[in-house]
Amino acid sequence: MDIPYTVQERPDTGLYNAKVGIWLFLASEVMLFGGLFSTYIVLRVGSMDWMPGRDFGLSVPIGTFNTAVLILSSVTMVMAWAQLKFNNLRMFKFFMGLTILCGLMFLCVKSYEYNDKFHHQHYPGAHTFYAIYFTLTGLHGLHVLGGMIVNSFLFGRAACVSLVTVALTALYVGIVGPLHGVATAEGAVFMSVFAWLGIIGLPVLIVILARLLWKNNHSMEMWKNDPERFTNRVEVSGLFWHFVDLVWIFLFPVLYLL
Amino acid sequence: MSDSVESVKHHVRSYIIIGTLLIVLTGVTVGVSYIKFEHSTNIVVALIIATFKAALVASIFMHLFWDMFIKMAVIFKVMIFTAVFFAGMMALTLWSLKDPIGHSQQIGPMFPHQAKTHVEHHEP
Repeated sequence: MDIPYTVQERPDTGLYNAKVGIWLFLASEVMLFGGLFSTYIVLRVGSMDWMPGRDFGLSVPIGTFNTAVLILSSVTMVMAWAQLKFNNLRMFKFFMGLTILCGLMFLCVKSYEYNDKFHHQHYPGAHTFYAIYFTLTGLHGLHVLGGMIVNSFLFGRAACVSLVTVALTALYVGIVGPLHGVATAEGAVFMSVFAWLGIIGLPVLIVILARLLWKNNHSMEMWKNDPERFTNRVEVSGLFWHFVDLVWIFLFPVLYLL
Repeated sequence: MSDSVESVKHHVRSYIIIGTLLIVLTGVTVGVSYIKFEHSTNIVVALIIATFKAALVASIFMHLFWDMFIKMAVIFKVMIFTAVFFAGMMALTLWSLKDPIGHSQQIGPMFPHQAKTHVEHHEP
């Protein structure tokens, strides 16, 4: 039985179901990040020795570069969707591949930043700034990861390679790093925040990877049989990806510059 | 979004322009952050630029500029509700700063009338 309104617009909302769903989901995401931003405000106002992120050792050039990468990925994402509208699958693959690569680059740079902080013993327990920095950027990084998984699914077979790379990055950032940090006093706090994210996230990644490997041409089959539905899927995935970009647009000045 | 091929062709150029503008504005945000304004002006300026950039992403990349009033009345309502709850949450945060828990503990008991009763009970 076909699911209704995957392509046609519902008469009551004027939208197909997935679009209503993703906007409701994004509304809940606003509240999730909003809660953490309000936590940031409380911590910042309550702290006696708060400084801009760059004074805590964050690199502004690296943060700026990562912001540009994420903005570029938003452009390529919306271009990928536009290519499907033009019925140009080849260019869709080109732009979607670029989007995945930009996401991967963002995570790699973030991983480098994290490891630099760990190297200098800057764990979340070291200062309230690092606590909120790791929580906000860690959660945002998970969103980037989630977006990449969906985009890779839409891309098809070749994306599995990048997903394995991402899984290894997540493994290192989520589990190996915290285990290394457990030797310090701050390690306990670090474990509680990040290890669980890694422990929960990895099985999900493995399941999705397994599914991709078994049925990795699902997206292309849908493009052949039901191109409009596939285009809608890309649009919905794009909305999520742009939201992730939008959150970073606020995170960058708040954490690095102010 | 008005999803016809012709309209999408028109929008492709705006995607590239807005993307470039967003990167330029990122540079502006960084540059402005090094200027020492008085009081909290740096925060206000940075957040204004960030809000403008976020509005560009939402309106152009997420198609709200074209869709908002055409066929996305539902989304518009969702966004209004979200904005109200978000504002409420932020207001709660700011109000809480004026009445911190630790502060009230330093001043005295949370319910003065109970404390009074307690004192009266022990006094001869």
